[in-house]
Amino acid sequence: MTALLSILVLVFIFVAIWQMVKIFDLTQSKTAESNSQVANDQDNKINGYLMLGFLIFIYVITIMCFVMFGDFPLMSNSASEHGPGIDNLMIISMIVIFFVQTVTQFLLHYFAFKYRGEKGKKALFYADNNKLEAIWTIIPVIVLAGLIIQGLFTWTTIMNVSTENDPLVIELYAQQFNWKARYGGEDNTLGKANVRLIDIDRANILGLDESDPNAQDDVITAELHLPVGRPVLFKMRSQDVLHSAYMPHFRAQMNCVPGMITQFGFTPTVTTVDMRETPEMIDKVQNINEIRIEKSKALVAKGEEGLERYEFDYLLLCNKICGKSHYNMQMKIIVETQEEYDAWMETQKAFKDSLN
Amino acid sequence: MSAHVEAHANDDHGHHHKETFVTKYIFSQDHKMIAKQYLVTGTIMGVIGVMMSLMMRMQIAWPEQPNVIFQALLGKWAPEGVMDADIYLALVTIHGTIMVFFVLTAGLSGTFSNLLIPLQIGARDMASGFLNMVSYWLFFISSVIMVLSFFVEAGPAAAGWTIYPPLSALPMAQGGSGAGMTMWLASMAIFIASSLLGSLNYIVTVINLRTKGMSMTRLPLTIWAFFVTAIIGVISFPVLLSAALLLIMDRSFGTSFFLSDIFIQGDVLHYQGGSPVLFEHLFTVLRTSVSLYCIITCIRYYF
Repeated sequence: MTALLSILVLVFIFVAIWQMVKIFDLTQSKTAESNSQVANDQDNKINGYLMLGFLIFIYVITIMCFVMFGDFPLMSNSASEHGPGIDNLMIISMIVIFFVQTVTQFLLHYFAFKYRGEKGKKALFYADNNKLEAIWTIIPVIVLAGLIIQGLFTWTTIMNVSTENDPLVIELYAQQFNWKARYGGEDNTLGKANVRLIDIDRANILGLDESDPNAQDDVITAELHLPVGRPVLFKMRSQDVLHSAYMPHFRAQMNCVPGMITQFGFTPTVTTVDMRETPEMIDKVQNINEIRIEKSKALVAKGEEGLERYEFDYLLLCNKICGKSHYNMQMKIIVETQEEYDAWMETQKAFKDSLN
Repeated sequence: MSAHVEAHANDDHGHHHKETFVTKYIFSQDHKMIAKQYLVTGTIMGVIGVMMSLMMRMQIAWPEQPNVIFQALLGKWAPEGVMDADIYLALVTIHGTIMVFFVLTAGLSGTFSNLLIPLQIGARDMASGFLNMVSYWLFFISSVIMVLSFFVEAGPAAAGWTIYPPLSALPMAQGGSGAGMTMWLASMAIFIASSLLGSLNYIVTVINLRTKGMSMTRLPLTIWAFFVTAIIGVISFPVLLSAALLLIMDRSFGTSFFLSDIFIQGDVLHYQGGSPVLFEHLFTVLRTSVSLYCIITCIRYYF
């Protein structure tokens, strides 16, 4: 309450000063010419040059952003087979957008400057020019149609999941606020499941049908391990609200909808270990760790524990607002060689053995 | 004839009956006064919306740091000045709702359509001054309900401005999905009624009340833009109303339009057979039209 009152007092002081400045302004006698509300040539000239100034400001800001933040790691180092297709679309769209933006902003501001008001200058009555209109309609139509067609082809390649190349079937199970993964086990077939079959006392947390023979060897884990180079087919379920399985490094995202099963398939191409050793990732991790060391110093000075060192890992994130801890709903993804994957799978418990 | 109209154009608006303070400034049926009312209400809502986005940005810039402004404005939602995760989502939600519906849709369209349509087509006023008044006051009531929902004990609606069920339908999924969401839905239902009355009025005015010689092809581009946005509004807002009504049914009367197979907080709920995707589709109709609506709104300022 005190804070609210102090802020109100500050606001009122500001209003009071503003009013006083206005009164002071009114007391200053000015010549009728400069006090007139009608814009004269001088005013128009100032505004014209301000327009040009603003144009330069936009360009400078754009260039600065490119220099300082222009490195887009999420547009170049995808870790899945279909990733480069999406990156390409993104890069082409960006180039088109920036080209058009640069040209149109120049025209907009330059014309505002060139045709600024001047005494005696009259506007030209110019009804229309069909040729010009045709040009500026047809060019965007062709460019946009090109983008859409390329997008459509990319979309169908990504979403057309085939089961012919023996994909690894994994269920991603979403709940407020964590993820579980379920592997099909030796038969690579997921057992039937429904939230109505959830039995917390028996530790059947995903609601698997205990009588289904396919469910017996299913493996439920809290970490997602994927063998590199093998197609994966994700079947997604949610137990409570909408979630969205988002795997940014693999350029993959799909909603998890309670009451239905959605799917997404991709092939991971880079193992976690290899990804950690790419130059851009080394840079990024080093940068994060430098910031963490700085922050740790401040924390240690206050007598608290310092931050841990950051190490890169692929992540599965939730990308649809799902409640209070949505921001922290994630699961680690580890892409590894087939041997490492097999060794890890050996250590996991099958569903039938995990029941109480 | 047209010279005659021009000569008397200025008189037209001075021919009103003797008006009391109430009929002139509060329950006014004059399009200019209603435009001003829309402008003031829309601006106030805009200030509230921008303040919310400022608080969101402050939280992002200094995550989990105490801030005296949070303490002052958020009260119990910022214990010791640190913003609570729930209220962050509520800010996102209400900011989105206010900016999209109350500022861009109602504030801009309500203000400028009301002000400019009669002036630019040479009409004395809107086709129905009374409906126009009702439209504004419904907008006002919906604004008041939306603002009141900030003060609900479990917090305002916090499921994102798209209020996708089941998150928005289940109070156990999120505090804001209780009374806060009920008020959000009530406010939006009233808002849609207001928007429809307004849009129908704009359409009828443009079609019927043009002055002599003002053919549709001679309409200023501004009016064409208002006309088209009004038509888009009439097409898309009823879809949102139906989505909102079905959601109200799911929330309060136990139907399963959008809900199915839900296990939450240790219990399986009775809902069976609905689909949240249906709501996404219904909402997509609205959000696509609203984007169009906003684009046309912006473009017309160039004309």
